[in-house]
Parts: sequence; C-alpha cells; structure tokens
Amino acid sequence: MRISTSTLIILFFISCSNTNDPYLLLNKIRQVSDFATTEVTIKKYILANREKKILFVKFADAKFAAEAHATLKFGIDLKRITQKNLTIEGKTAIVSVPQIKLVSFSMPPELTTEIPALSDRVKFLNTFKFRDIEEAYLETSNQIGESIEYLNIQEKVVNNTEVALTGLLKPFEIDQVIVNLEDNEIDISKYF
Amino acid sequence: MKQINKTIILIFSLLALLYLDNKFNIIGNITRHLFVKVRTEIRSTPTIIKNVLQTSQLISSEYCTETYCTHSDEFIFDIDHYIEQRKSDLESAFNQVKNEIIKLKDNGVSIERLHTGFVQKSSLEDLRQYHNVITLIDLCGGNEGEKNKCFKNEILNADWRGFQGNKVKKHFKQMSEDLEDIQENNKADIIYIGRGCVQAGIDFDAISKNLQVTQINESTLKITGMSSTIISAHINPWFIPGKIKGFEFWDSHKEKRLSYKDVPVTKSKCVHNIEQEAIGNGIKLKAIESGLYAISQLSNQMDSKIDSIIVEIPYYNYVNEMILADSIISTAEINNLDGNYYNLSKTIDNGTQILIQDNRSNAMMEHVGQLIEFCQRNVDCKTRTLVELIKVKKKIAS
Repeated sequence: MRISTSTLIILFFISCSNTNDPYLLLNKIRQVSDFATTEVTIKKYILANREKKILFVKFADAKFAAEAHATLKFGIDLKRITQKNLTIEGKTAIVSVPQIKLVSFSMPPELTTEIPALSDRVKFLNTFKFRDIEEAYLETSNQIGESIEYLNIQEKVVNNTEVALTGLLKPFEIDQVIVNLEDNEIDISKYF
Repeated sequence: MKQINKTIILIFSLLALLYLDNKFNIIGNITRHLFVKVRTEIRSTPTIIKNVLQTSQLISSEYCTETYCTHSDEFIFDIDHYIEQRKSDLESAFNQVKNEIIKLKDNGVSIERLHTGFVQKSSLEDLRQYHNVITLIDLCGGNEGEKNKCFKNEILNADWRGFQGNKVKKHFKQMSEDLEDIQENNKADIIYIGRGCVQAGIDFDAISKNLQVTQINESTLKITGMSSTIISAHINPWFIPGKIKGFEFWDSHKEKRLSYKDVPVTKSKCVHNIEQEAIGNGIKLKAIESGLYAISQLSNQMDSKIDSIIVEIPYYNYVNEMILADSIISTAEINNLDGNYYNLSKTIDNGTQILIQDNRSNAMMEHVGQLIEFCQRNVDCKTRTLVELIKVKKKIAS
C-alpha cells in the first residue's frame, strides 16, 4: 500500500512537471528562439464530396471546392547551438545543427476561397454544411503535413540559414557561418 | 390499386418524417441514424509550391490562446453594459452642466438665458462630452421655457439621483429596445471557437535599414533602430495535431442566410482577437527581451566579451499598444502610468545586462497625450478615465 501511494505521488509530480501539456501553453507568453530563414508559400485545392443515402436511395452529391494557401517557415532553433556543436576558426563559425525545424505554419482563413464553378454545396436533402467544411480543412492540413518531406527544402534552408546567421553574428566579429546538418529529416512535430 | 395507393402514401409519409426529423429533430434524429448514411470524401490533391523566399526573422515570443468569434458583432454586443456606460457618461455630463450653470449664475447671467449661454460658453474639452451635454439638455425639454425650468429646478437644485426621472428612464429604455431590435434582425450568424498562436520577434529584413550596432567599449553594445513585430498570428485547422482543433464550428443561426464568404470573414475576426490579446499582454516587449536574450546566449557561445547591451526602442509606443489593445483604458493601467512602474533594466540568466531605453526625450508625455487623444475619440472611454489621464499628464508636466 505504501509503495503504491508513493508511486502515485511520484506520478502526480511527473504529470505536473510535464511542460509539453498543450493546455498549459494557453494564456502565457513563451520564450522561444526559432530563427526563420526560409519562407515557403504553397497552394492546395480542396475537393470534397458529400454523399447521402436514405434507405437505398442515393441523393445527388453536394460538392465543395476551394483554393487554400499556406505559409510555412523553416529555420533552426538557436537554443540548440551550444559550444558542443560550434567551432570557431578565426572569423568563421562552423555550426552543427541537429535538424531543420518548421518554426511557423499558417493557413490564413481569408486566403481560402471557394471556387464557385466547382462547388455545389446545396442539393436536395443534401447540403455541404459549414461543419463539413471544417472536416475538409482538417484533412487538407494533414495532407500538407504529409507533403513536407517531399518539398526537398533542406539544402535551401541550410544556405539561407548560413546567410542569415552571418548577418546576425557580424557584431560578434564573425564573417562567415557554415552550417552542417546532422539529420536530413525536418522537425514538423509542432504543427503536424 | 388500393394496395399501390397505400404503398405510395407510406413512402411519402416516411420521406416526410425523414425530412421533418432531419430538419427539426422531432424524434431525436433517430430516422437519420437508422436510415440515413452520410459520407464525406476529401480527395488527395497535390501541394503546389508558389514561392520560396529567404528571410531572417527571429521568433522570440509565442502566445497561444483561445477565443470565439461571430459573423455579426451585434450578436455578442452586451446591451446592458453599453447602457450602463452611457448612464455613467450622462452623469458626468450632468455634473459638468451643473458646474457651468453655477459659474454662469455667479457671473450674473440670468437663468432664463442660461441654456444658450451655456452651450456657447461651455469649456468642454472634447466633442464626445459635448454630445453627452446636448443629450442631457434635450432631455430637459423641447422649448426654451422647459429647458430653463429644468436647469433651475432639476439640475441646479438637485443631484444626479434626483434628476433621473421618467425622461431619463424613457430615454434609456428606448435605446435598449432599439439595440435589441438590431440584435434580433442580425441573428443570422455563425460562431467559431478559435485556438491558435501569435508569434512575435525581430524581423531583421524589415529593420535592416535602421538597425545600428555600436560597440561602446569592450563589453558594451549599443543597439538602435531595433523593433519587434508580430511575425505570425495563426489559427490553423489543428491546434494540437490530431487532438485539438484550431477552428471549431460551434453553432449557427439561420445558416442558409449566410454564404461561404462569411466563413473566412468570421474566422479572421478570431485571428484578430488572438493577435490583440497577445499585444495586450505585452508580446512585443517580451519579444525584444527574449530576442536579445537569444542573441546574447549565442554571443556567449562565441566567447564574446559582451556583457551589457543597451537598446533604444520606441518603448512607450509598445506600452500604448498594450494598453489600447482591448480598446479599454483600465484604472489599473492609469495607476501604473503614474509612477516608475516600468522597469526598463533587466539582467538575464547568463549575467548579461539589458537596458531598454525609449529613444525620445519627451516619450512619457507623448505617451499619455496619445492615450488622452484616444479617449477623446473613443465613445467607450469613460469620462472619468479621461479626467484621470489629464491629471496624470499635468503631474508629469509639473
């Protein structure tokens, strides 16, 4: 009994100290240090059908089509640059970056526009409602997440990061920054 | 033949029942679950890259929050709150009118000519208060005789509580009814819950022209022309991927009256709300502090000897943005203006001293002046607030 009580107490404290709890992120300003060096704008069509059957009678499909735009910003987390992965040779800094990170993702609602020529939302007894549109957006977002690994953006981000870091470190007498990427996979865990 | 008729009637009855249940939920949508099958298919489409740009933005602060938004603002408009504010304004106008009447009377102006004399001579500081006074005078009566009588008996010789007779009650009752009518007619609406994040930081591309970094001595850097900005305010389909939605459709009234175009308009309001909330909580100032912290941490890794950074920014502009983000100047915010509330010197974890200074000599005066100007223009700003702000300005000037 004593063991189980102390286990419970430990588990309670572990759960309290879990800073990844999404609910704890609300309503406070978090300090981050993400350096965005590459901005990618993408376009994606949303094509969705709503099928409806009553008994064995199939009604005409309601359709929703829209064009969505999203902005993705890639970069590195400056916190992850430590003395362990940094070498200074004269005025050149060589930085080993563990991973490229998706630091910002935005799919602005005002840039998602319906395509009237392809949409037919209201049919007899079958309407593509606003609630259904939300489902379509969620799926579109998932598809964008899945497509990131195929963007082949790593080299571009590394080059851009070198230029941006050189600019940032000029006051500290660094004339050139070379970035070595340790892992080619992009960290998209924050958004997808 | 009878059998066919019966079958047709049965099918039609069933369809009618389905339609009515679907529409009005008369038997708990049971028919829908039993007989209706709905499937939404979202097709896979390619992702098209439109543009790839080089940027240099340090995202140093992030604020995540939850809000709600509706298509028509009238729907969430709090009538009672609005009426209370208007009453408070009218009370303030009452006191002002009373003081003016006393002043004019002491100067030998006859009470019969008071209202014309008062309107001309009134030393009102802003247009809004002037309108409140006019409303009060109109409530006194239609013709000159009635107004004079009201000035003499109901204002000069009474207090606000005594003045609030039928006319005032009727005025506010009418105002309340008119507003309720507006709300009723605008009930076609959609409500979304929005959860998202605002990111702020230093956009080096935008500030590069003005940014100057000067080494004052071996250990001190001075930075001018630095500013922080909102880099992104976003509510995406997912807030926590796969778990919590960013936008959640909450409810709709008369959805058929709305078109798809109303959806992005409404959602944009949610995004605007979270952005304003973040600004009100000081994300921009925090972004500068955190940005400098990140840069100084980096400089430490480079074995730099810099241990002190002086940064000049339009500090009070950020403070004003914070105060005005919710369009309300609270008593606490006014109290904070009066005194040395804003501690501009910070020491961060690694020992680096960061001193933030405003880059204008008269910044504090300008700062309060802007708040006064805002209050004069904004109908929701209480007269009491305006008076307090003027007091603070005078105190700073002295």
